[in-house]
This record gives sequence, C-alpha cells and structure tokens, in this order.
Amino acid sequence: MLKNMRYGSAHNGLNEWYLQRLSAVVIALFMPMAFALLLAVYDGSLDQMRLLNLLNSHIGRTLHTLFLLALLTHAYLGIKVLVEDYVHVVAWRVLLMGLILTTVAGLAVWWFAVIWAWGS
Amino acid sequence: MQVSPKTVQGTVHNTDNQRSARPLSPRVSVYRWRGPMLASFAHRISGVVLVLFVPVYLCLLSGLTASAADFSDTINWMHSPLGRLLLWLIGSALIYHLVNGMRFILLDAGFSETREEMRGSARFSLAAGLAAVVLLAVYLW
Repeated sequence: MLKNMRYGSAHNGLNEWYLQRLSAVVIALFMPMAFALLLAVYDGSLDQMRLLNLLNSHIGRTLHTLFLLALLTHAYLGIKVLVEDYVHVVAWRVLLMGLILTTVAGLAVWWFAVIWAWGS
Repeated sequence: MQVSPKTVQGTVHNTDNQRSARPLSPRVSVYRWRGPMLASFAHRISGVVLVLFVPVYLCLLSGLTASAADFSDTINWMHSPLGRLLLWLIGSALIYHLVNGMRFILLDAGFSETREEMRGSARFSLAAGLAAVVLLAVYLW
C-alpha cells in the first residue's frame, strides 16, 4: 500500500505525527500561562511594569521562544493536514503550502524580533 | 447525509488505476454526525481559528510591551466591542482545542479506545467547549 503512494508525505508521516504531538504537549504547558497573563492584563490586576518583569528576563524570553517554536510548528503541521485532506489538486496544495510556510516563517521572525528586542 | 457502509466500502477499495477517484479523508459527507466525528471536526475548526489569531497575539504582545501609552491603548482596544469579541472567540477555541487535544493524546497513548468511551470523552470535550463559550461570555460582558 505505502510503496504505491505517489504523493503526500509518505516518508515523513510518523515524523510529523510525532512532532505534532510533541509540540502539542509543549503548547499545553505554556499556553495556559500566556492566556492567564493576558486575562490578568485585561482585568487590570497586572500592570505593565510587572508584566515586563515577567517577560523581559532570560527565563521569560527562553520560555517564550520555546513556546513560539512549538506553536508555529504545531500550526504549520495542522494546516498541512487540512490542506492534504481538503485540497485535492496537487498544484493548489503546493502553492498553498508555499504561502503558508512563508507566512509562518514571517510570523516567527516578527515574534523573535518582539521578544528579543525588549530592553534594548 | 447518511450513506450506507456498503457504498463507502465499494468506493474505498479501488484498484491502483482508479486511485485518483478514491474519496479522500475525512469524508465529511459520509461520516455520521456522532460525538467523535463532531469533536474531530470542531478540533480542526478551532485549530484554524487559533492560527488566525497568532498575528493578533503578536500585535497585543508588542503593544503591551512598548511605551506606557501603547500599553493603555492596547488595554482599551481589548475592552472595545471588537476586542472583547476576538478575546471571546480565541478563548473559547483555545479551551476547546486544549481539552480535546489532551483527549487525542490520551487516545493516541491507548487509553479509552472503546466505542462507548470515545463517545463519552467526545461529549465531554464538546461540553467543555460549550462551557468555555458561556463562561467567557459571562466574564467578558
């Protein structure tokens, strides 16, 4: 069955499946923290000084970067599954995935820049 | 909406030459609208919603960590009708995706794989999502 496949990620399936779950666990650890911080800022219980003290530190930056990498990996792999499932014309798939990969890379650069520019 | 299993099987088992005509997963129009199907589908929809919110998160993050004026502008935007609506959407999608994601991980690890357990846990995920929708609405308005 497998060896007859002509397209799709026939070699990378297990790799991507595993990476999707590994990144999911990392996100499940960090996302509640980011969400809680956002809510605390929203309802006024966390002011900017204390927010910056949390984010603008080596540990804050490192955790944020790990979170960023896991989130964008997870998002990319998730969209890839959707495109492979619902877009049946290979040319469209290639075009879409190219656009999505470019967008994700752009977001990664933007996000890195925001995180690592603090305090400079 | 419902197609008999026989028709589905007939189309699935194509010969190699007919592979391009095979129905591709997931066959939304073929699956029955059961809890697990709905839970999986909602997982995909909430996932897409969350991806669309990554740029919003980045805007919030850069606004909140810039000058004091930017900080209060961002807070004011979050309290505007549009801001609340987006926070409501992102929060609901987030909580559903998290709960159902943990369900998927447990299923992948081999827990609760019987049909009844799958249906029960799917209903639990969907209920958690609904609860998030209601509770966040109460919190934000």
